[in-house]
Amino acid sequence: MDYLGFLNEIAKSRKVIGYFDTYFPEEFAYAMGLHPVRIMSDDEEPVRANEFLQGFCCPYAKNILEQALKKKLNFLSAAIFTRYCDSLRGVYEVWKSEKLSPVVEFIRYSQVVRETAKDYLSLEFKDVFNRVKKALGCDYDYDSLKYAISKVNKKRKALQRLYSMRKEGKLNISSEDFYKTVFSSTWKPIDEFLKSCEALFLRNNSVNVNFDDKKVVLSATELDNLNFFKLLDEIGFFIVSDDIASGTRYVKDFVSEEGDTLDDLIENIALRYIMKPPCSVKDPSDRRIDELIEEVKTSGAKGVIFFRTRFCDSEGIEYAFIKRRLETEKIPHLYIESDHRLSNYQQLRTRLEAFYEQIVGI
Amino acid sequence: MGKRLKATESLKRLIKNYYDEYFSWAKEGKPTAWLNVGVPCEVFYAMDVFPFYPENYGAMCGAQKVTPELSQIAEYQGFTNDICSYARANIGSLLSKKGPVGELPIPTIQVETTNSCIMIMTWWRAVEKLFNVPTFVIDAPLVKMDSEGHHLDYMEMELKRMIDFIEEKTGNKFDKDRFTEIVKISNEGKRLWAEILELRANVPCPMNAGDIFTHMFPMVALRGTPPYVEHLKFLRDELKERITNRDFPVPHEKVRLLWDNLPIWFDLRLFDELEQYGIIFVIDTYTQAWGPRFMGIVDEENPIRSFGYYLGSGFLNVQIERRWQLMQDLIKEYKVDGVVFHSDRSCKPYSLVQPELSKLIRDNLSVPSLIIESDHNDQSGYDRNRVIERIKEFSQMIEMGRK
Repeated sequence: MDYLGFLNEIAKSRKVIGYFDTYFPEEFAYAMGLHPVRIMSDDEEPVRANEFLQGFCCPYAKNILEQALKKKLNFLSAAIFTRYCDSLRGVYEVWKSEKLSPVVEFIRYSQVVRETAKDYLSLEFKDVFNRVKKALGCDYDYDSLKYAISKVNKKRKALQRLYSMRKEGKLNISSEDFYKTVFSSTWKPIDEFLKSCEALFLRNNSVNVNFDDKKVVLSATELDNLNFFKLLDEIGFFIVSDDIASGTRYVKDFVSEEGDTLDDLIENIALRYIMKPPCSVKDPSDRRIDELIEEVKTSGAKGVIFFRTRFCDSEGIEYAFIKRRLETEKIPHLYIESDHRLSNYQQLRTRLEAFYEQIVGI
Repeated sequence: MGKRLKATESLKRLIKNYYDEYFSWAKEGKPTAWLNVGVPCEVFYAMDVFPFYPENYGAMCGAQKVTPELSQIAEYQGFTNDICSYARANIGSLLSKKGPVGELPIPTIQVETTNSCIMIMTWWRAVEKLFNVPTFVIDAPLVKMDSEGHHLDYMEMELKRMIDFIEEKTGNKFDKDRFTEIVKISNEGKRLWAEILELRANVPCPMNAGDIFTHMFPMVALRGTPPYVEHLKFLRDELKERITNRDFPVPHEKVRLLWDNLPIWFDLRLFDELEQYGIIFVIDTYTQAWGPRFMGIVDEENPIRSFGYYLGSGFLNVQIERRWQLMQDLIKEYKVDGVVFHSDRSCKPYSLVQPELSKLIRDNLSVPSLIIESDHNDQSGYDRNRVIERIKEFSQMIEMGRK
């Protein structure tokens, strides 16, 4: 069953809560018995969304709105936005005005990677989820939140294992299948996701593959279109690791399970989401660049593919520094720009093939 | 067409003195700071740190039409051509050491706040990394209507952290008494600015949009200094004089319009040109950002918290409900016949709610609106004739609707 079909089914038995970036603290949703799901882009061309958002809005954000306007996301009981970027902020305003889900919430998120924001964000989480509790008739307490933290940590642990196996050549699946699995962690129920990981671990029990010459690291914000990974597979690349918001930046860092009170747990959650590997919309973002370089070095990748979604402001600046750093480290890289539909597919293919020849040789 | 204000001559001197002072402070090795427009310059004046606003410099690049060539320099270094044109012009100017005022001195420190857009934060980060400038980000999470409760507490804490940062990086100490004096001067100017904005409600309007955008400069960069008060008094008095003498830019107004968003800095003459057709922009939303609704009188007893409130409730840090409220108030107070939304490619938070606002205005107030697309600072792709024709057609439609 496809992603939307699956979520429509889930919505028959429990309330589904949609989020749009990986700064959403999903632990709260699980603790309240809700099913949190990251809304992924599809290949819809914006038609209705064009009535509400201009052409220079991020196409990913616009596509999310298009899906909602076309009632594809009617299974959502609530949509919760954080202030991730200025385009998603625009989507939130339209979503709210057009009442595209029964409940619409906005977390007044901190933009800084500083421990000093912890107390503020803890209070903000409490406020927002208190309103969600009332609106959806659900609740959370110390035990349910502790359990939820532990479950999400288990999911991250399984994802970390997947990434390690891939790096060590112990996971013989295509990039397309690898990312299909990774991204499913943001919408599948945790137990189901863990089961699929176990099956994958078993199947690859004695695998040892060597993709040394074809290894690259992929850097991007959100990149949901699996056709892109399929294209990389077809050309011959092996995505050994990544620097993607729903990839390694989602997987790294756990929420501490220590603490005697509900407030302790909430603070632990706030701290993890403030200090996690930052996207370029947060400041400082040094950790992101440092870890990208580290991924390249530890995985033995031959280069980096940097994918920028058109009109993404923060990546439009960040790229200049990633470029500098990669040049200093003498790591070959390719900058490509597209949208959620890969509307310049043939051009992408040509450029990727040329890059493949450059780093791998014919 | 384009009746000039006497105050514009004194403004030119004010701007020249400001830039001269920035250059001489930097030359003498005295501390300077780059701030974005949400950061209160009063604190910096009180701490003897010269506050410089790159957004104002960006507007200067726009007005002098040098943005495209400066952008190219930034683009060669990997900055993409679809980011904010202020940022491209500023970074290009720094990298090339060229621009409207020559080589711009690199500041001692930078402070910015997230209360307008994410872009600003990454632009400041670029300068931080390119030139190794210590930088502080005042974290200002987006609010719905106002900063209150734990949000306001956080804003106050953030401003206190900013003061600690300035002290640490410049060695200059924060003097509460001096700060209070500066806040008093700043408040005096804010009252004058509020009067100036109110005078524009007169029918006919005594000041077109091009002039108010030009005269924003002291509100942005000089708050808390005596010349700022002096200039605003002069401007206020001149507007009063215009009303008394019935000396208006458009004596026989046909259509009174509201401008939403930043102006097109490279074509402020657009407003003058439309005057000959009886079209006048009597109010705008941008200069309101420094007006009493969004940057009001600071509580002299508790100034840091009060600044925190205005910073947290800044014009671009609020949600559509507050923008809608502002639109309704302005349309009523200024007897507005129609709204022109400048959909600005370089300002997403300002622009992306405009279609929704346009719909609200149409459905609830029966006021027509027009969306024109441009950029506040980069003239590439700007079709001036088309913009003028569309505003003319829009105005004719309003007039016909009356008949």
